[in-house]
Amino acid sequence: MPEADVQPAKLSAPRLAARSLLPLLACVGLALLFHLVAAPLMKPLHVKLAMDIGINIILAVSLNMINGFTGQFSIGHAGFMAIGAYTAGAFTYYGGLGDVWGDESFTHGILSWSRPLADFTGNLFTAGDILFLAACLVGGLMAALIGLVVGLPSLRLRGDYLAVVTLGFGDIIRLLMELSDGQLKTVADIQSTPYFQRYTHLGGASAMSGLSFMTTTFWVVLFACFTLLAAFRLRMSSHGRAFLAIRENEIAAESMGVPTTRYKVAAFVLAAGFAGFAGGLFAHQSSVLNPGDYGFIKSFDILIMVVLGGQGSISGTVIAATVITLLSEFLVRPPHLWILGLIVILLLAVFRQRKAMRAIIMVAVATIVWEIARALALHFQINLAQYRMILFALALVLIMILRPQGLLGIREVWDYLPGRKRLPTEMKA
Amino acid sequence: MSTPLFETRNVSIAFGGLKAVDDFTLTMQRGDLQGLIGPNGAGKTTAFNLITGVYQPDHGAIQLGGRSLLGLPPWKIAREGVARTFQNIRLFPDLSVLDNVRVACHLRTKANMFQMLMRTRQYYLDEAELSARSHQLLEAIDLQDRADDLARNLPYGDQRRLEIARALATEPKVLLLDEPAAGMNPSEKQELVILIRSIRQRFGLTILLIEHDMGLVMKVCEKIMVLDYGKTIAVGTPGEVQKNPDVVKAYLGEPASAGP
Repeated sequence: MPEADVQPAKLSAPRLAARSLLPLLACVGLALLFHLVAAPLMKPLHVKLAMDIGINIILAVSLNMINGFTGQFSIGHAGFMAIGAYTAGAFTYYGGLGDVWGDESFTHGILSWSRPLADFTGNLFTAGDILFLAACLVGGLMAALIGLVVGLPSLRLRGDYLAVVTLGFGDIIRLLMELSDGQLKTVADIQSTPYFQRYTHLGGASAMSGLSFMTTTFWVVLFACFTLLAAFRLRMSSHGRAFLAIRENEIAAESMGVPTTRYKVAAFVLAAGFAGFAGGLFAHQSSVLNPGDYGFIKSFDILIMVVLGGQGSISGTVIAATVITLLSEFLVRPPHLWILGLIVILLLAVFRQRKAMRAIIMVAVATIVWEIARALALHFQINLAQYRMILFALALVLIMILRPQGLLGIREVWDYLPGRKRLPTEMKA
Repeated sequence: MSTPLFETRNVSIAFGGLKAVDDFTLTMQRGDLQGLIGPNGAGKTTAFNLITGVYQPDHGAIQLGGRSLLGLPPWKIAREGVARTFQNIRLFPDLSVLDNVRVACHLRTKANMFQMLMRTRQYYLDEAELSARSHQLLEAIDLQDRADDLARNLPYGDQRRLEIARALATEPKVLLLDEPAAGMNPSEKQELVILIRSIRQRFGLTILLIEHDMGLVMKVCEKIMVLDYGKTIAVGTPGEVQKNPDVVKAYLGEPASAGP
């Protein structure tokens, strides 16, 4: 992404507005395009997959703001996602249904369920969308607030405290949700329970089900784009450079006037907010709030996306989030990947100037290993998905050995294109 | 005589039983260029760390323009107008040369996080101003051609000068240079002398300089302070300090006495 050539003195009001707002409109346009044109052409399974990718992009890119930009190490991101999911879910369920005129089957209230079935590509807007968006926003804000509470004490210290605290935090949240009271399932039950007490009935370990399917591809694409835009704007701004400075050398950053604790907390809170919002989207996509969905494994997934993509690289994180989400699905029904491998090798050969050979070999090996694994799995009828966590952990170990800086290091995809003045410099392992 | 721009009075700090800096008293008028020398472990860098808030002194006073700097965290002291370089280079290695300087301009920007995310006019004003200023500073240290290179790829001498430019970007009143000539070759040192004089002139700086290269210190400093084991053992012009017997003793040891 080229640096904006800025001449604010000559920047007229309309041009300023265009520069500031056009990218936002472009996000809306892209989301509309996807929802109205692309999604209807896709199989329902692929639509679901695309939404998973979008939600994972929000999670991974936001975690990258902490781990990649400010160089801290947070490993409990699913905890914030859980806070957002439960807050938003309970908000639409009890707030929307119990309070605002839902009937016995929760389908006819003014602000109640307008999508009783999973119809991710259906009507663009429905009556419940206001409540749904408000719920996601509240979920995001709640996650950000908790982020402040968690971040403030642990980010004052340098070193690995944050990793320990976030690890514990993620599990505490999951346990709290497991220990919550059973779900209130009828209007009568809901209405006979005092208002704030309802929000302690979150389904417990047996999960809370029957949430409305409010999340559509439109909302997912829209907010994934917003997250990316925010991440890029942050990176290209003075604040973002201050974040990066903390990663590069905290003592020097502090000496240059960067309030390091405040900025680390700011990054943490911002990232928690985005994760909370993603949680809201996730809850209304699956219609179920299950504590197990937000355990350490989910945190680990998000972390792998960031580490694989390159801590500090936004586009790398997007690629990794996409690949890993797809991979989880591919493991269930492994497809051929050699065509894709060939395309990637071809692209590498055409575009990369340095160390292309090594990358090509790695892709070739990965493709061959995949094809062999696929053949074996089909032959012996093994369900690879059962071994998902083992395979991912193995992949992480291999990345750490072969390419510790991740796919793109701290650069972006376009930094590797030919004709770039600045050659990408590999981070020292 | 007017009140001094910058002064420390009886600043002391002990680490356990070791008095690293003891009664450090220093007065600088606007435009002074003072040297701080002493053998290894004399407490010079500790004195810098006390001034910039990395350590809090056990007692004493530190004032800039009549305002106390005691108890402020390093980033606030930078905002008050004290900037520094580091003995062991502490650049932002994986940021570009330009970005290294731009980070240090950040403390003079006005846009808040929301204005930045929405890219309001204030954001563009800030970015334009700090980019222009950063390019100016890179020009001053003759590194404008390498603005897009990563800081880690600069030669050693350039990295030292980039640290100075970065410190200047905070718009300091007082600049603390911690061994800026370390690891430089003679011609680079010559350029450094010119650079130090020119930035002092151009930015109206007050400079406190730690340096082991005596030739350089004697050449650029008007006044020199000598530390040994945390104590100030001499203050004066380069000529006076060189003749001071305590200084000679600190650097060369006691004259050999009649042995057993």
